[in-house]
Amino acid sequence: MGNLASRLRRVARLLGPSLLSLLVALVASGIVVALAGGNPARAFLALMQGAFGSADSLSEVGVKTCPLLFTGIAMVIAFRAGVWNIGGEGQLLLGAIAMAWLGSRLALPDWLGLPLVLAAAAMAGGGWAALAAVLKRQRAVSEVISTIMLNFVALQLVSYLVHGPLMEAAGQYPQTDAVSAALRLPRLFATHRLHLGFLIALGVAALAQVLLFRTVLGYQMRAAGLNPVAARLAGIPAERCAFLALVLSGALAGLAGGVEVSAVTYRLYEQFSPGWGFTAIAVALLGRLNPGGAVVAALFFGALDAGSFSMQRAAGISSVLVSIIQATVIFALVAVEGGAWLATTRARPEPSVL
Amino acid sequence: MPNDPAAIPAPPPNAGQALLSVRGLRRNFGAVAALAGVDLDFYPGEIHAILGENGAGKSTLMNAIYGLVRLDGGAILVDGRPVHFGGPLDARQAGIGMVHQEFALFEVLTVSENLALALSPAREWRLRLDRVAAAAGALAAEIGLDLGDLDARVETLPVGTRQRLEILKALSGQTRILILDEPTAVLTPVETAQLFRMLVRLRARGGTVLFITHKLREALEVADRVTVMRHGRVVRTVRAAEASERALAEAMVGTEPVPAAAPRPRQPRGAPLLRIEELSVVDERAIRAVDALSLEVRSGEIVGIAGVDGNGQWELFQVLAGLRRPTAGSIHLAGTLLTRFSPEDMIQAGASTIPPDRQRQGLVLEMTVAENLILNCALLARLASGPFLPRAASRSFAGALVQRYVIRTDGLDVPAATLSGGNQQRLVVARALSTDPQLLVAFNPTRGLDFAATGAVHRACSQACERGAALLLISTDLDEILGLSDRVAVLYRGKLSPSLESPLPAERLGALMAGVHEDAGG
Amino acid sequence: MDQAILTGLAASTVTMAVPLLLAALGELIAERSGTINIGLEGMLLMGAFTALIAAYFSGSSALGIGLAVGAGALFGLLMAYFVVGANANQVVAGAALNLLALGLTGVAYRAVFGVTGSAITVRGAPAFSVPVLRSLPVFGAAVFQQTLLGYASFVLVPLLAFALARTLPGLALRMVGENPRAAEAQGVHVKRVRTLALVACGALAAAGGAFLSVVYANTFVEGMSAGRGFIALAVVIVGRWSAWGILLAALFFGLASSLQFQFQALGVAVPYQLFLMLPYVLTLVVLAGYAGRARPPAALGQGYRRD
Repeated sequence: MGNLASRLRRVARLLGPSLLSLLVALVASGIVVALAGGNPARAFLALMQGAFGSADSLSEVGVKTCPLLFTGIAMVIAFRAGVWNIGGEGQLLLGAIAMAWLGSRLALPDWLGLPLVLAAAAMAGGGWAALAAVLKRQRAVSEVISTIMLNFVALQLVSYLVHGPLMEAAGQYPQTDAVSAALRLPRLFATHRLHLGFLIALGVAALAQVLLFRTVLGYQMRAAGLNPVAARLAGIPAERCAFLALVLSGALAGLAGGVEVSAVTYRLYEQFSPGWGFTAIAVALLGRLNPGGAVVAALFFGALDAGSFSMQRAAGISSVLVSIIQATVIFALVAVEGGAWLATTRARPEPSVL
Repeated sequence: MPNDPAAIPAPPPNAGQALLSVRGLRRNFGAVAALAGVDLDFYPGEIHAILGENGAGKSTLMNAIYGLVRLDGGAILVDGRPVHFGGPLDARQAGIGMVHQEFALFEVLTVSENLALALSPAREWRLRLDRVAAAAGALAAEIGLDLGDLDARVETLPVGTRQRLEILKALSGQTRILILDEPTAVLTPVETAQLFRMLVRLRARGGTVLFITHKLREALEVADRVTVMRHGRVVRTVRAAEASERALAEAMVGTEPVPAAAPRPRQPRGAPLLRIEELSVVDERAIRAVDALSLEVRSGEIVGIAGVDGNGQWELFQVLAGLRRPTAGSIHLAGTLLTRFSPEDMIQAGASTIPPDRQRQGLVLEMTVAENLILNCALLARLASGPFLPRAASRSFAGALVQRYVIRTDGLDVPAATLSGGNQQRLVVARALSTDPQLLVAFNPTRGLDFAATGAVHRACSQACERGAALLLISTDLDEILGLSDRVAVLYRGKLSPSLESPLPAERLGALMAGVHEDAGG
Repeated sequence: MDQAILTGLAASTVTMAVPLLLAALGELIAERSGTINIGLEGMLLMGAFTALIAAYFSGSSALGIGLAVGAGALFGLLMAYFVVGANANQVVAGAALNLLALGLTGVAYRAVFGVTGSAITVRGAPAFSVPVLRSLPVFGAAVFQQTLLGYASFVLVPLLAFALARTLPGLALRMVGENPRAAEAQGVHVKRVRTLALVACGALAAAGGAFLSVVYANTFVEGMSAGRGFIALAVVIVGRWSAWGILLAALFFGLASSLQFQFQALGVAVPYQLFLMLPYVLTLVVLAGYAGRARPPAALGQGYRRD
């Protein structure tokens, strides 16, 4: 048959909307830049330079991408299972809290300690998501609202902890003690910040791919996410799948926070996350809910982030522009698709805001 | 020729020019001709019944007249002038109102609120429920309808009242033609009598009533003329006074040979695989959907359950699919008493289902053909290797099924949505049979399928029975029941009639289904 | 308890409640038409920013509020384009709208004012008192010495309640939210109704944001909406999709929010973050307790395609 042709067609159908929406987003943000008084061409050039201009900047791209990889994959899993996890931000913070707390207190050799604290971060994030999952399962509370509420609670929790119980011993700044040297994720190169966490994230992406497309559980999650009625009739435990997906998603987001503390900041403080939990949504959608696509999308946004500072320096454009690009990407995706991918009609689980 | 010349309708006594005429109406859904050239005339001041089985084209005809269905050919004339309806609002303006089987009501709103838009004056912005109520009351009195408490919320109303509400809505405005789609399907005998009295009053006012039904007796009771449809054509139109039940039943079911699966070899029946005793299901509205149902299906046997939709079939199916726990009664499957009711338990116990709505219940349209072919917990368990689902095993399994059941698809990796209805159903059937079930429960397995696909599904089911499975066939399609079953019972208001062995008398069956000889009570 | 404390509590309760009230009333209109607007937060933020900028440059808070309402309406239109026109997933589109608002306000703020350390302040909107009533004990000042926007929000409650229950357009709106197909069959233009509902929602949410920046804080801070838009979503649910219920719920959440100041005034040694958490935790608790008891519009969250 036209096997190659049909393959190409499928790839085009997958990539097309993403590329098109990227284009639209770039054009739209170019307009915004112009309106804000800047030069779009210079801004984007500075962006590219800042991201890819040197080995150091490439390493920075990796550093900025890492949390997006974890959270992006987290969203891929959740959305594939039909669960709207908007709580990545909060789950991430819980993971960071766990890492900052245990990492500065635990006296263990790295081969034992690191896996332990990373696991703790994942569990913290998963536990935070479990709150929403239980509310959904037992009390039919929409996960959209509950995860968002938990985000804000987590924010305040961080604020409380860094000003209080977990404040550094020196008592000077509202931040936690530093993670002990043994429990810091090692760098990959001596002179750059790129760290092991990046590789772990790639590994997680690969595992997610296996989970979703090669395991029974992944199959069940996807079926239940696309058509819970048919899934249930087939004997698939749809509610349990949704629960697991939400908790797993939270765990990965928690891992994002934990890795970031362990490898980059070594401490937790307020304003820790520049909105990774929300960018993750754009990453997942741009990556068409495929782990591989999410990796590419995460790299895109990571590059955007890495380049934004030089864009600000060179072209005077605020780095907050990145938010606009993200938003435009999502809008463009959704418009280009005509809503077919994320349609609310047909058997898709409607977000029940109850 | 669409019509037999002998069947050209004799105009009723007081007919002037036809109020509504249709000429050569055609409508195809894919390869199926839902309307294959229909010519009819309707006159003012008559009650006209359109009689036929499911799939005969009655609803499509009426929906076309009401502007809900596009036509592929033909013309509609009102008062002799051709009209084109872009939608129901156009039909309403031409004086045609329709009440569907599925009501378009707002559950949480009151009766008055449901009528408010239809009965409020044109430029009004205020909601004057008192005025609406007055207008509704006047209209209701004129026609002889009892709407009951106008401040009651629709969700509290019994079906009969809801239907009267729909009828009132349809009659608001200058409606000259009222179309009713299977109105008595959901009514008790008392409500049916009330409805008929109202229709007679309408006729006395000079209105025309078009009445879709498959119940012969009622058609003869209330209609002036009866048109029988079959396979998208008009078979004949007769005056009710001159018609006989037997002739009409034959016209409905047809003396053509039933599309045959190969004649099933009479096998010695094995042990009862399914034994249902005194099964009762009380639904959320405290209605006894299934009432003390007892049934036995043996190995190798096909038991057909006939009946009009809405008499408990869906609840029975839900129980056997594990989606619903019975309120009372017991079910033995392959000798074991069932105590747990979940789809997984039923599948593990050896049951397999073919649900009535393949797209919503049987398939995940966005997933590939291969993925859909394994959408079953027993299959998943069989194909799994630890926690993994090896691609190779799944694909070869799926590939074998595609070949065996001749599922026409562009490969295993295309979304199931790309398949035609017939092939989608083949997929569902293939999957259901591939678990080697002891009991197969099929609900309208050939709905919307063409002749070839229907035959394929029937053949597959027959073969499964030859291998020892028991098949419980729930269907609203008489042809299917007749062609396939060894024994047939009729479900009416949740109660099951005693079963009839084949050879099966067609008209007796039709009568039971229509509630003529109500042995089943109710 | 001391009269002064109660009066202070009443005043801050009302102040905290008004933005929630306005946003929730807007969301009520949208949800009654069947659309969930997660982007409420973004609309609120846009309103806060627009009002502040306009008030800063023109010196008129009234103009600020007016332009904010306009900006909110535009955002509502944008949301409608995707959710009603393109049948996009309502949750995702809403989330995108929030990101957009965050980005736009951030960029615009820095573009106009530069990255300064000090906050830009404006003179707050003037308050008008109602004689006699203003002197009522405890809540006299809170309710009857309010800005025009505050009064407008109070008046909106019975107005909206009346409009929904007693007018034909209100009935049509409710029909669209319950059963869009049946509504279309009765001649209601579903897409148009849903679009208008979102525009109204955006306008009201932005008005709530305007209250935040021009009445309450007299300044703008990036992300100052701080989740109020999401709390407003919960207010609609807790208020059981009725205007009066929403008023009560908004007051309730306003009370919870303002408790933190009172406890600080009392010198209670509880970390202030706990109080800041309170509205969000409360939302969860209330929603958990409310499972299945409130009935949302039947077609809520479902897209509508005309065949």
